[in-house]
Amino acid sequence: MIFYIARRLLLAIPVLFGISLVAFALVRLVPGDTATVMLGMQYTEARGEQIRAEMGLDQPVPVQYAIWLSRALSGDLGQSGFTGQPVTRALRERLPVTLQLASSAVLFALVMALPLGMMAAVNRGRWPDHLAMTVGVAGLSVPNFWLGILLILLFARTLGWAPSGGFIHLFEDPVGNLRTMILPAFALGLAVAAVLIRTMRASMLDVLGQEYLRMARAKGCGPLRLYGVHAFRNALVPVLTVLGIQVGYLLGGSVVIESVFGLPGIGLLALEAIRNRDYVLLQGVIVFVGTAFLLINLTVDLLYAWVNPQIRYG
Amino acid sequence: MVDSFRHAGQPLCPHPSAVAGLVVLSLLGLLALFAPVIAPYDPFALSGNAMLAPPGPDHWLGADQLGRDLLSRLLYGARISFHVAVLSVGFALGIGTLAGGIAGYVGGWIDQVVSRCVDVLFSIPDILLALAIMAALGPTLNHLVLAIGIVYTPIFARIARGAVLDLRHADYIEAARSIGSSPAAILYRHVLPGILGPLVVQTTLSFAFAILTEAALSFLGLGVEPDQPSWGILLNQGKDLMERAWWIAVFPGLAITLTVFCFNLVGDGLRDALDPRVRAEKRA
Amino acid sequence: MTRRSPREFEPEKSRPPALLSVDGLRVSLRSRTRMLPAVQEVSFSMQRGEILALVGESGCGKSLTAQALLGLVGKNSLGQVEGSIRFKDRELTDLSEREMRAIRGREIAWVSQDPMTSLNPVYPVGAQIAEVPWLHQLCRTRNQARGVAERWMDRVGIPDPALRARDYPFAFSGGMRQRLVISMGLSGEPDLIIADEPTTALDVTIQAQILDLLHDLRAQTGCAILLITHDLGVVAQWCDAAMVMYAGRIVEKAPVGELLANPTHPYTQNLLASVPTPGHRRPLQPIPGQAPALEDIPSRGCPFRERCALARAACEVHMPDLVGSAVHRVACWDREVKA
Repeated sequence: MIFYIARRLLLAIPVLFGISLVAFALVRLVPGDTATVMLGMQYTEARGEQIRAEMGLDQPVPVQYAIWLSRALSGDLGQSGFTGQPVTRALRERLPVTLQLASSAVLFALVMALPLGMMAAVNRGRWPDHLAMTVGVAGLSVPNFWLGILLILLFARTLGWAPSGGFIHLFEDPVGNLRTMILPAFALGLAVAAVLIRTMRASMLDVLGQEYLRMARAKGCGPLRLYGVHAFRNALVPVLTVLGIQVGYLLGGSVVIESVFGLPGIGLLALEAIRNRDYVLLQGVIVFVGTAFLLINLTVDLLYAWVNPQIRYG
Repeated sequence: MVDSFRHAGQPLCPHPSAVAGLVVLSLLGLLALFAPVIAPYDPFALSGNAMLAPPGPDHWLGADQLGRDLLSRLLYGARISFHVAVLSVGFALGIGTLAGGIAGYVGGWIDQVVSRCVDVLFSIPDILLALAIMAALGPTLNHLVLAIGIVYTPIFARIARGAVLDLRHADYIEAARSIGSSPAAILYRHVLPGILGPLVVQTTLSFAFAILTEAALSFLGLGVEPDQPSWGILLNQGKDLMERAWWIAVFPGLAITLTVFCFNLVGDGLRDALDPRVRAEKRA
Repeated sequence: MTRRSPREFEPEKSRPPALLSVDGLRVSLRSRTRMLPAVQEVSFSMQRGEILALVGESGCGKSLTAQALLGLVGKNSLGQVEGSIRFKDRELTDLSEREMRAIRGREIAWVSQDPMTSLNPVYPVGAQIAEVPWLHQLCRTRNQARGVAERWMDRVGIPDPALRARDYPFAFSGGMRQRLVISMGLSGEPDLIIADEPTTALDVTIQAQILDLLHDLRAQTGCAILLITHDLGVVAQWCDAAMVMYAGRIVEKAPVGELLANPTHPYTQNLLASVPTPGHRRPLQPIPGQAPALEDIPSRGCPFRERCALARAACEVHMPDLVGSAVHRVACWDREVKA
């Protein structure tokens, strides 16, 4: 098991390196540099040179990358060119919002997809199956930001059940926090739910054909035990894998959803960075999100090992 | 024993939903193609007395805050969506298949390099990567095509590489090699037909994703030029006006959903029809 | 539907009441166009402690018969079961799904064909065995059920049961897994075990061990065993009586000694001729042709006639009844003419 984790971590290193390279290169493509942005209207040649020297921008590009990478490795992603705030602090402030949004979306997706996918497989070819498959395709086809707009229009503006945006911190007002989270989580989670429904259905169909399920029936298991205990955990393995892949969508989708609902998370931070031409910050966000994505996938692999004992010992 | 009869009752009909999806898509394609002929108004023409006109006989789907006809703008928006989807997926398909195919066929360090690049691109979320590229390049139609193309390249590379790896050691390829066929001839005559199925399916599904991504980026103001009637841009305007003019917030979204839904239906149908594993399962 | 011939049941009335008596069992499977009769007119009875073999080529309806006994076909749209299955004075075909559930595993257990896929890969084996006594409320606590599981693991010959109970199925060899499946079947202390080709997936030496084990457990617990097999060697060595099945019908039925010494149905004769006999050097005779697929079973007449050397006009028209002495019955026109 330890060997397995170590191997997975080792494989992640070149990818992390690549992410940093992409983030760095993207920012170097931008017309105009940090110095011009920081100084704005007060830009003079001399002041610009001074700032470039301070930030190491006068060095050759490979040297710049080496400096930036070595700082990043020690946890310093530089300072925002716009506010001067350290990038890591900005990320730390914004992370809880995105974390809560993404995890609520996953929770919603799981709660919706697992039973629906299971019902679809058990009733293959009958109406629950058709219903689940329709949700499975439709959920993938509705743009999440449009869904967000519709939800605001219906539940916030018309019915007044939930606020149309903004964020209340969980510890300040738990109920208010939930009210601000419920619509965005639904808008973000529906597409994930759609994918999971399809995966759950397919993997459940596979499990239902297995001999151990017939054996369980022959032991006298009722439907609840048969599907809930014997089939469920086996069917979960592919669902977890797919969920790991969906994390990428969640992180990207949260950019859009946070913008629609005005949630001050990492996604909105990225948009602000782009709008303010704050490329040090954007760089930091990309590196951070890429790393988080990798770590989450690693966690999913470990979960996978927990569900499937053969991997755990193999 | 019972299992072998489980599917006996299901007729092997061609997917009716996929056929329906294809029909609707063709219609949408025609509408987009002939938008200049069909559109009742100039999508850019301002009209003082039609400002925020609700859906009615004059403006079937209403008008926006500058009096521009929403239906006409949607029709022109379809042109943008299809344009971006076709070109960007074409880009991804071409580059991705080529890179993945070569990596799988040649192996060695080339394979290592391509695979690591694919891993890296996969670990940055689609939208975020596209956003960053757009931020670096600036919001124009061509940059959008490029950005979405880059984002969807790795999936094609991975599919092509996997399929080529599977095929490389297949007996009939070995046989072709042993009778002295050139690598290019083998690739063209034997390998390409083998990977066509999964590529066709992925292409169709990527159209759906590309349309969604285009709309999302334009919605965020980092897609096409802001004066273009892209569906995403229309929705962005609709969002701000939703209390006064619900139609601007509703119809563009419906258009996106319908188009993407049809692409997904066709993609699913193709997967069932072309994927040998699914097909075998159906027959069993 | 139950076409009961009076001759059929007379001799059995004098014996003690049977544990299981099946009469006119008919299982049909739904196909695209019609209901296909997969099992037809199957009648037999079993006494307590009896080992009865159900012999036939693969696809002849053996497994389906067994599943019908457990009520695992017919409760959905896929198949239909007709006829009578009496078990311990209850008519199983009349019971609800809930009542059948109480019988499955507790009174009629199933030992499946393939030990490699019959155990749930994600749960420890001990828990899977303990599930049976727990489910059927033979134990009051989960700990007790675990104890029962370990006892049965010990009895079927798994070393270190307390330790091994916590292992997952993949950690066991094929033979050990089959022992686990058997202990799962026995842990409900059933009156009847249906063993569906329990040894086909195993090596010959392990095969003998497993069958010895079943034989011993029968002696210890007094449960009856319906052994489904295609292996006449297994029948000869371990069973009391045997039924030969062809294309969904029973064509011959006799105590094992009688059947082997005096096979009467041409199919049984052919089956025996196609098996090598130790000590006798004679050419093996494969049966010409092959058993019909479910869709191709003729709707009337004897299904074996196309492969039969003795086929005559009557065989084309009617399926012969299963007739003969109290112990040895056969369904063949050739035999009826001679009698």
